[in-house]
Order: sequence, then structure tokens, then C-alpha cells
Amino acid sequence: MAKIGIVTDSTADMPADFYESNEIKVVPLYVRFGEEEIYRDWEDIGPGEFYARMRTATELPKTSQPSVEDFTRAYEEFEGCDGVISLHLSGKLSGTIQSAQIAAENAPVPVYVIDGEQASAATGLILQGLVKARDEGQGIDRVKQIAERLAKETKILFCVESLKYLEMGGRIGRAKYLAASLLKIKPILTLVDGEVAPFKTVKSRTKALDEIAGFSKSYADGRPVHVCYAHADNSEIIPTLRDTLRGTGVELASEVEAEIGCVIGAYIGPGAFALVLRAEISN
Amino acid sequence: MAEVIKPEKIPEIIRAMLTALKLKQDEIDRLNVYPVPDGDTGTNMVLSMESVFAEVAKADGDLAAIAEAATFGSLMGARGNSGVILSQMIRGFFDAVADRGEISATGLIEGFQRATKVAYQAVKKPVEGTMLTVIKDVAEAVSSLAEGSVTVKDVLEIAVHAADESVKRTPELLPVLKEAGVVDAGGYGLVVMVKGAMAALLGAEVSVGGGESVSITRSIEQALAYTYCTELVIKGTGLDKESFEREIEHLGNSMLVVGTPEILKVHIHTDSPGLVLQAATAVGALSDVQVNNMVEQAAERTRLINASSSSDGVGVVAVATGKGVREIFQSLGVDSFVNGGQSMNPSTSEILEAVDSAASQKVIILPNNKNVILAAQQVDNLTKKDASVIPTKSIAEGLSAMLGFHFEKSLEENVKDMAEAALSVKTGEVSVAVREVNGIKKGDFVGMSAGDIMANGHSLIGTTMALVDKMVENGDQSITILVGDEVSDEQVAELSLLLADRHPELEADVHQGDQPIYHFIIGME
Repeated sequence: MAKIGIVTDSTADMPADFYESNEIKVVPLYVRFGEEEIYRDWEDIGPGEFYARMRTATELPKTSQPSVEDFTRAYEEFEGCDGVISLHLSGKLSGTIQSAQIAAENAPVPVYVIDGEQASAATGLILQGLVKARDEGQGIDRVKQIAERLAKETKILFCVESLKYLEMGGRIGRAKYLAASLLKIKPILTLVDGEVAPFKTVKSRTKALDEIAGFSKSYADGRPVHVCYAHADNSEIIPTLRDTLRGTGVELASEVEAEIGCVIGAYIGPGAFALVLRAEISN
Repeated sequence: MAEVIKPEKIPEIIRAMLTALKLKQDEIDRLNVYPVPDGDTGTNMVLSMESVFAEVAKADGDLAAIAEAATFGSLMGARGNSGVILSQMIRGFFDAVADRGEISATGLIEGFQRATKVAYQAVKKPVEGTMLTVIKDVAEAVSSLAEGSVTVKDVLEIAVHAADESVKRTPELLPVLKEAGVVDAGGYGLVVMVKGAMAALLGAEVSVGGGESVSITRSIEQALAYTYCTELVIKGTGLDKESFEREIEHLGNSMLVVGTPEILKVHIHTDSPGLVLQAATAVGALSDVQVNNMVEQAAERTRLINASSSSDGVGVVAVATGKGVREIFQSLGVDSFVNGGQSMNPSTSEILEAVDSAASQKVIILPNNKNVILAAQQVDNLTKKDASVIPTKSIAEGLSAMLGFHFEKSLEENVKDMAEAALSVKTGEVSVAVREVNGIKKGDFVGMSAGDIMANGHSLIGTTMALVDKMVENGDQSITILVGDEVSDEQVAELSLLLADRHPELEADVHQGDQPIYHFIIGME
């Protein structure tokens, strides 16, 4: 029977049992403290330890993409399959996809590398839709097409406590000018074409949640929506975020919670939170 | 002099390349602005080459074994984008030489060519102005030597020069580098590596020159001292490199002549390419002649860069007085200011002047006072530019409007978002009554919000707190306070303490505004 493999990287920030039960192969990125300490994201180090160290570290942690070899080994596990969909975080934020593409060329199975142009749980929600398409028995071309459409449809909004991590980590993108603000601001950010971009800038969390609720309603536009509530060392926000979404009247097709992992966390900083929305796409 | 590179020499060369990289690691890190400005290109290249060296050091035997070890080591150790691309260059290079037993000049040339090909193939959308461009330029430069009986030293010498020249051009090819005033980090890393290899070949100590790479201005100006970059190959018999150098050196700078009695490769920046060609024809047959007008090229590149960066951006003119107030507006994206405010309303012509002198063709005006709105609204009829007014009635509304401002959005979108943002804040001001009104004595403090008197009294801080108490509603979370020029530090400290005590739910954002008339300007949401 035909089989389609799904490979992603550790920044999709989904819980381990999601990957296990859906047979998704996860290739970890690396997290570095200084030159010596190197950990595999989610495998050797988890968010709890990571954020605790980040809050006290004098030097910011660094991250690096998986090696070509890491991907080669992952793809080899799917030898004999019809093909592999390899979905990854935005190429504008990381070189991960570069390693994947090189490994894909010499893989013993056809590999379709897809730039989800997203990050963290937004990649996770694309995977969720991808699994569904695969499990329905769609062919590889169709699954690939669906993955690309899901990637376009998915939207992430995130709020950071401070822009300094994005700025120092070189990922602030089109939100760069906000970092100049002398006023204390609470920027709501999003990803546009795979790059960090400002969505709205407000002065209080209440306003931020209002904006998020407003956007969710206009995004849904009557359609049922899959959502993910995600946080970086800020679990207290989850109930508030959930209540905000439930209060909008948007029909929620599914709700999941996620913890933002070390790699994305290294750039948005502790205290950040995110809402991911994905409407069901019509066939 | 080294005619060929024997396999046993290769570990030493790779170690020298690694040493050279380590010497420049921090500098390369600092140059890193593309594709992701995370300042780790140098580190990544060092880590990648360390892995190559570790594998090569372990391998013994022939070139094929060393080639396999280098390729394996580079793949295993590749870190970061630069490391991955580098690993592909190494793979390509060793693919080309693996079966040769030793690396000859021809082998080296083919190695550079294959490295270029494999690296370009590996990258889905090759971007020029990166290390890809540098390896490509190196490969092209050495290709013209392929026919002569050149040594590996000649080839490397050309490679060093070509890499150096190429990396200096990277800012012209990739605007993000030019903006940052740097050359490409990965490309510079390649230059350093080739120089390291050269040093090992000559048996010299590895040193790769001073910090010339960070400041690009100098090298560009230097290059442009002469107009034409002239390159050619001379073929003949008994060609004398030194005497030909003497022949042309007075004609320009950046001169390089290398090769053998049978073939010379010549490169020079000059204003007289004709004289260079004339000198060359006198000694041999010319081929591969290239004369490029560098001034024209530079002008064309500058034009392209300017065209792409001068977007149809939106500028903002704000009416505001007070050093601190202006600094805050500026930090949020305001370009220019018009003096004015309560009791000193600017004229339409003053606002018009600021709009006309703004850099953008599309300008948003923040009047920040209800008595200035009308004057501001006349400007659109008088200017050739596209001017729109957000009718902000106070400084606090103006600041709030700026939170809705986005550089990249259109004038229309900005006007809509900013008007909405302006209305999302409650504003208040505290000032002194200049005459007796509604039973308030002249000289008393008055707290106003939305045009209504909310509090008054003899004490500045008492009046301000009473105003705050009246403004606060359920759900408010933030209070922004701009401190006027007549308020003392003690008064600010007292107000901050009282606020924290009575309204812990409000996150206070207190700034010195230095504005006249208003002791405090308040924004609350």
C-alpha cells in the first residue's frame, strides 16, 4: 500500500505524542549556550530549563539549523515510501530548509521540501491538516498541494514582552522600527511572507487581546477555525487567550495548546504568547 | 616553488585555512547581515572547517581517501547557511580532483569550477553578492589560465586576487550589505580561506591582513580612482612577467600580473586601457580582453539601489513643543515638527512649509490640538504633495495615533489605522488656571479630560491624582505621563508612588516631555 512520509523540524512546537501518534519524523535544530554547550532542541533541552537559563544568562543562546546529514538520515527511514513531505519553518528565519533541500536531492525516496513560511505552532497547525490529508489516502501530489495551501491559509499573531530578543537575534524583520520606541509598547507581530512584520501596536495587554479577537473574527468570516494557544514560559495567559477566542463567537473546529520551544523562544523571549488560526480549506 | 599539491600536504593546507578563519572569526561574525543578521557566519565557517580538518587529519593514503574524508567532514560539520554552502563547495572541489593522485594547476582550476557549479546547484535561489558570487568570480578568473603551463601557486595567486576584488563588489550586488556598510560575511570568509591556503603553500605563517573588510567605502573609492577595469591574457613565448609589470604599472592601480613565460594574466585599473593593450600586443598574442567602465557600473548600481529603496513611504509631520515630547514622537516615526500647541497655534503656512520639506511625497499631519486642526486641513489644498490630517486634539492622542503608524503601509491604510488608534486613548492635562472661571481661582491647578474640568485644587499632585481617579475605568491597564518643564523631580517621584499605591493595575510609563503650559499630559487605556 502506498505510503507518504511526513518530516518536519523541531520548531513546529507540537507535543511529542502528536508526532508519535501521527508518525511524523522530527529533525531537531540545535540550541547553543556559548561555544561548548550544544543541545538538540526538544530532545536534550526543553522549554522549562531553557527559559530559566535564558532569564539569567549573560549571553543570549544561539541556534543552528540541522545538518544535511541529519536530514539524510531522516529521509532514509522512509525508503520504499511513495514520497516524503518535508515541511519546515520559514527560510527567512532559518537555514533549516537549505539543509533539507540538499539532503532531499540525494535521498533514496522522492522528498518534497515545503517552506511553510511560518514558525512554531503555526507550522504545527499546518502539520495537523497535512496528517488529515494523508490519512484520507490522498496521493502524494495532492498532499503536497494541500500542504502548500494550508501554509498560505495559516495565520499567527504573537505578542512579545520585549523586542530585544528579536532585534539582537537578527529576526526582527519588518518590525525593526518599533524597537526605536521610547514609549513602552506591546507590539502584536505576525509573519508576512515568512518574515516578522508588525500587525498592531498597543499599550496594554487588554488592547492586545481586543485586537487579536477582532482579527480572529474577520479572519474566520463565518468559517470554522482550528486554533492553537501557545506561550513561552507564560502559561497563565492561556486561559485568558482561550476565553478571548471563545468570546468572539468564532466557531472553533479544534483547540490545542502548545509550549513555544527553545529555538523560537530564543528569538521572541520568555513571556511571549501566540495565537495560531487555520481555517479548513475547501477541496 | 610548488608545481603541484601532493596529498600529504592537504591536511596542512586545510589547517592553515582553518587558522586563517579563526583569526578573522569575530570580524566575519560582525559582518553577517545576510541572509539572517545573526552574527554567526564566522563561527559557523570555523565549526564547519574544524570538522573537515578532523576528518582529513584522520585519513591517510591517497588523494581519493582525503577527498572522501573532506567531503564527509564538511557535510557532517556544516553549520548555518554559510557552512552548508561551503560544504557544497568542498564537495565539488574534491569531486573534481579525487581521482588525480595529486592536485595540479589544472586540477585546482577544475576544482574551483566544480565547487562553483555544485554550490550554485545546491541553492534553490542563488543570490548574487554572497559567497556564491565570490567562488564564481574566482573560478572565472582562474579559468583563463587553464591552457598555460601554470603552477598551483599562480592559480592560487589569481584566486586570492579575484576573491578579494569580488568580495569588495558584494555591497553593490546586495543592497542590504550596502545599507549596513559591510561586505558579505561568507564571501569574506572565503577570501580568508584562500589566503590561508596560499600561506600554507608558500610555507608562510598564516596572516590575512588588517581589518580592511569592514569599511567598504575606502576600497570602492580606491577602485574608482581609475575608470576602467582592464583584464587580458597574453600568450607567447619567453614572456617576462616582471618587465611587463614595469611596463604598465604607471598606468593605474590594483595591478596584478601572473603566469608563466607562455601565458600571462593581467589585471589593472586604469584610465588608459588602450596603452595597456598596446603594451601587451608588443609582447604576445592577446585573448580574453575585458574592459569595463567601473564608474558607469557603479552609477548604474547606485541608481538601481536608490530606485529600489526609495519606496513610496509615508512621512509624518507633528505639531509639538518640548524636547522630550519631540524625542518620543521621533522614536515612533515622526519626521519633522512644527512649533506650536496650546496658546501658540501655528499658521497654515508654517505647517505647509514642514510638509513641503519632508522627504516623503505622502505626508500625514498630526495637529495635536483642536485649535490647529483647521489650519492643518488647509495644507492639502496648498501643497503638491499628498497630505492627510489625523485630527488629533492633544499630544496624548497624537502619540496614540503614532502607535497605529506603519512605515510600509499606504497613506490610506495609515490614515485609517492612526485615526482609530488616536481614539483608543483617554487623554488628560493638568495646567494652571490663568483667570478665574467657574469658581476656580486664578493660579489653582486644573485637571481636564476631553475638554471638561474634572479636578482642581492648590496642589499639583493632588489635582493630578484626582483627575486620574476620575479617568480610570474598569479594564484600563496603562497610563502614559509626559512631565512638563515646570515640574520638579520630587513631584514626579511623589506622583509615581501615589499611582503605584492607588492604581496598581495601571502600568505607568512616565517620560520627561519638557512641554510648556501642561504640567502633566496623560494618556490612559
